[in-house]
Amino acid sequence: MDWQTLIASGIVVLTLTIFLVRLTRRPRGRHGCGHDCGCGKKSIE
Amino acid sequence: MRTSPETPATIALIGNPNAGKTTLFNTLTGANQKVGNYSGVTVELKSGETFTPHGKKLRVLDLPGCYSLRAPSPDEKVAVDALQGNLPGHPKPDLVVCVVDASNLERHLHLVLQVIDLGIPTVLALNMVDMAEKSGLRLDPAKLSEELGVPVVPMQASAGRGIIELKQALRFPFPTPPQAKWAAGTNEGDAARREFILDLCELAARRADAHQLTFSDRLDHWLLHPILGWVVFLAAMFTVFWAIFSFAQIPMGWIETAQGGVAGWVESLIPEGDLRSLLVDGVLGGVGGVMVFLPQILLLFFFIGLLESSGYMARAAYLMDGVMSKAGLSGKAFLPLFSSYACAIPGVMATRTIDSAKERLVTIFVAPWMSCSARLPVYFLIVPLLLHENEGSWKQALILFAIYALGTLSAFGVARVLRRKLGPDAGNHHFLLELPPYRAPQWKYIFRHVLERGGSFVAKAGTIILGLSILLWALGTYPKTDSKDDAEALAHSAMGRIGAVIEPLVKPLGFDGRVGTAILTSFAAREVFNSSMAVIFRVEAAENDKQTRASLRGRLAAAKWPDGAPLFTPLSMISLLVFYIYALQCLPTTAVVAREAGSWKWALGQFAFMCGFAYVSSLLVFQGGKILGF
Repeated sequence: MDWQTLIASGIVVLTLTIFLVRLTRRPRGRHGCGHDCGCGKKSIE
Repeated sequence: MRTSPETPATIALIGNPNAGKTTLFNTLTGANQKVGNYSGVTVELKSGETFTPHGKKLRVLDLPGCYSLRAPSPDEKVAVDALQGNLPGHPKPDLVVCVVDASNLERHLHLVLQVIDLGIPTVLALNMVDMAEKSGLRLDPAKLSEELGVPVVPMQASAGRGIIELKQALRFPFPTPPQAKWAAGTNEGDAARREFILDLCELAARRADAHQLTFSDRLDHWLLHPILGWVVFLAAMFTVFWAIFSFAQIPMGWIETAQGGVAGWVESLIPEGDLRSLLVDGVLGGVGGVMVFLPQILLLFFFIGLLESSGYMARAAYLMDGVMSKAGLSGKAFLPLFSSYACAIPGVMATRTIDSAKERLVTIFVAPWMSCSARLPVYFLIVPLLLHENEGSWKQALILFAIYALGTLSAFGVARVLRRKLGPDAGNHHFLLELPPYRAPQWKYIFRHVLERGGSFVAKAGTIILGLSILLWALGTYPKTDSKDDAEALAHSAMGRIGAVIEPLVKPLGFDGRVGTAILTSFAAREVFNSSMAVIFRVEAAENDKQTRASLRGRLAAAKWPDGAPLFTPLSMISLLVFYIYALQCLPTTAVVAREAGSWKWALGQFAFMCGFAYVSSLLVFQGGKILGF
């Protein structure tokens, strides 16, 4: 495995890990719509 | 009420829709909440902080606009609950600032009297005095204060005038509330209030010439004309779409050049290999394919802001009331549906201004069919390909207009059917709409809002789309084969195998497994379709992104079925466009619908219906077209 494949695979594994962690972690109590829809709603406190 | 000396006192801003509460809230707290010259911009409670002239901290609540404390719509109920201290986490306000439009005192004072009768210390912010005086009103704030028994502060919140005086009025101790004059919630009380208001306006808000037409009245004569009004409305809407298609080309060129420069730099730095392919094809090809649409999305938000801020949006709602009624909706559904052209989420939330629960549910149900900005990148990719020409022409604008019209008309059709199915309302609901005076747009807020939306889009491209582009690149690259043939390598990859599995499902719509895979990835967010296609069809970042997109179109035009027939025929492209018009490919929207409708069943039903409708429509277009010989 050459160095480029090694780094590229590392980036892919890291990305996959971030996605899995974000998908499986317990959702925090959200204010606002909680998404980046740009609806302009801000946290109440 | 305050629970301890350390807890800051709470003041609530209340008033009729479009009285300028949010502008005042932003000025007091330094916040950046959206404002518009249109009712119903604030659909739920917002909070911030301000300080008295003596440095005491105050908590400020911006309540949704309401006409009365006995109102039925959900956003008005939030205001009433907040005033009575019935909202969890929000104490009963220590003082209420009633914001009123000075040029519409007769109507706005009704709510003020109801608030005063609640027995909470009250200050009256007499907003937009400049407009009132221009329209010929002679205001007497001292007389108003004397008759109402509360401090009255004349102001112009949009220009920051009267803010210091208002803060002076918020000093401790708060003014003692006057004695309630009428029993709350009774018809006799309402009649007595009306009489009192008429007398009070005679004294404190006299009109030099009651029959003099204002500038807005004269303009409305033309803009609300049964024929000319519609000509202006359609021309305005077409101009918006045309501008999005043509003006945006210049900044799009800048983004493309910058992207091409970065791709060239990476290629000169790293020799050929997986990392270079990941950066150039995966990251730059994927993220760049979406980022280039930023100027068009900013333009769309700019025009929505301009229409709201100038006051034309309310006229559009008035004109649309007749059309809406044919779909079983009222003019109040116009803003939520129009907002959904930008993003269905604020659109769904804006339905809180609708009194009738059934009409509200129907509006929520059809809102995602108003083509949102996330669909634009897909349209911009396919429409020029369909016409065999470069981006930016009046023909493309016309097709874009037709795409929006198809989504809108379908939404109205479904709304009509659904409205009939749900049956009539239990009570009577009337369409009451504020027609605000025309104003010069508030550029500061429009540009701030446009930047905020642009920031959200860039953040999305830099996170979700970046991540998905990397994963898609990996799916299209691994497992590797020794073959040097790109098509063979893709067929051997995980992506090629997924495509082969789903191909039987999408083939009747005119798509192969590769297009099916790109559609599948875009269920996270529609605009991912472009980056997926760029990765799947192995489009390398060119000198500039226009060339990259042109090269993607070139690849798509050259793509073939195994039997050598072209993959992208006019029929399959129309089928693809139809699928994107109807499919609900936005998970955040489904989550917000579940919250607003109070039912996951409703949200999942909407998701299943829209995706099923999209599939069947595409199928009918493609198969029907084939039968007809296209």
